[in-house]
Amino acid sequence: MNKCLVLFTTVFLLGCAPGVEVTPSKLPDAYLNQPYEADIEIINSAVVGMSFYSEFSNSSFKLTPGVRDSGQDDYNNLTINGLPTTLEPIAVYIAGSTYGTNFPGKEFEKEYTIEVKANK
Amino acid sequence: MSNSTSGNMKGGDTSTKIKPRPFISRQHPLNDPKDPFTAAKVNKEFADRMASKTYPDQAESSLCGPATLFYCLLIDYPKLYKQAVAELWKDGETTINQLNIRPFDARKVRELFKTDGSLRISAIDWMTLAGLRDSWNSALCYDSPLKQVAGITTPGEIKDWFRLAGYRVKDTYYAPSVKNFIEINNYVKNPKYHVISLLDSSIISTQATGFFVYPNHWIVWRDMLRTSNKPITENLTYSDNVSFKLFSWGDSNMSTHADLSYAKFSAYITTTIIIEK
Repeated sequence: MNKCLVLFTTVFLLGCAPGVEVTPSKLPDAYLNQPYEADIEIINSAVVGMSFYSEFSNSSFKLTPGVRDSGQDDYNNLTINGLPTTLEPIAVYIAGSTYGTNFPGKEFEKEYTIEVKANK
Repeated sequence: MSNSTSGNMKGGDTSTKIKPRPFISRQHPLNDPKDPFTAAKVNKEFADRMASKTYPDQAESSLCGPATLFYCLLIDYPKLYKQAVAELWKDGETTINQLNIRPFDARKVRELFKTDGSLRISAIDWMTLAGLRDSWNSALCYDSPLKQVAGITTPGEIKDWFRLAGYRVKDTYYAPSVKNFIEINNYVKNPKYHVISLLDSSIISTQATGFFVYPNHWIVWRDMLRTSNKPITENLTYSDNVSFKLFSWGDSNMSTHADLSYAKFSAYITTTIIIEK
């Protein structure tokens, strides 16, 4: 009986926990030969640094984590930098997982496309 | 001529027998280039740990309870911590004072790697944290960092672990009052003690507030409970904002939300245990 109650409570509470959200839903456009910078925030739970993965279709683009009070990398707050030299859209893929508690963390992934325009 | 050394063994000499390594990743087993439990990889993780570059880190798993114990052990008794890691890697079991860690299911770990190839938890943290968790599970198998119920640590278990590891449980506070928190602050600033709490993780700055309050996370206090950057006094009111530093998730300097009121804090922290070294 007690085991059933624990299982029911666990499932109920897990169902109530907020999911991981990656914001914004769309990244701003880039402009040809102009430095690009945009922020991404992952909210609702701390991101495990060693689980974080990112990939860009344009190798001149990179992603930098923020810095926590403790000096550790902060993968909840990310900055994308790059310089588009062609009009080809830039595909961005990020994935990772969040820290567990007495329950396991959650996994997330997100794909963006940055449109490159000739001029403002 | 045979390459076997067994023909040279005399009088029961077993020195040339090779024991199978206890911890194996089912995804990347022995002789796989990504095997996470090789001596070289475990030694690298261990060297970083002893150089204070890393701390026990449950990462994606539900092993916050074991992480509090191994964090305290690492700080207080690094030789015991070192011995535990070495024996778990070599023999698959260890004893810390009277705390026996003899995992079974955790030794053949599933789902240690994500699909992108990254680890869900480091090898030494899996051996120590999951090793302890699995040793104490009589019915529930703990063989994956994604296991839900099997990873939960209760206040009774965590007290037993600390006692058996050689600590003394000095006191336990349930739903502490302001007066109790002033007492807890006195323990926090005394290096003879560790203070650990079971709380709702949503008071930690990186977490979002959930819909319900439930105690889901074990942490170690790293600083006193403060209001306006000063330790709290009896004049603390429910509307005052409070903060404290804590160890969690491999970071010994985590903080609480800046706008955390004492009313919310006191509702979100349920059990606080004073551990004497």
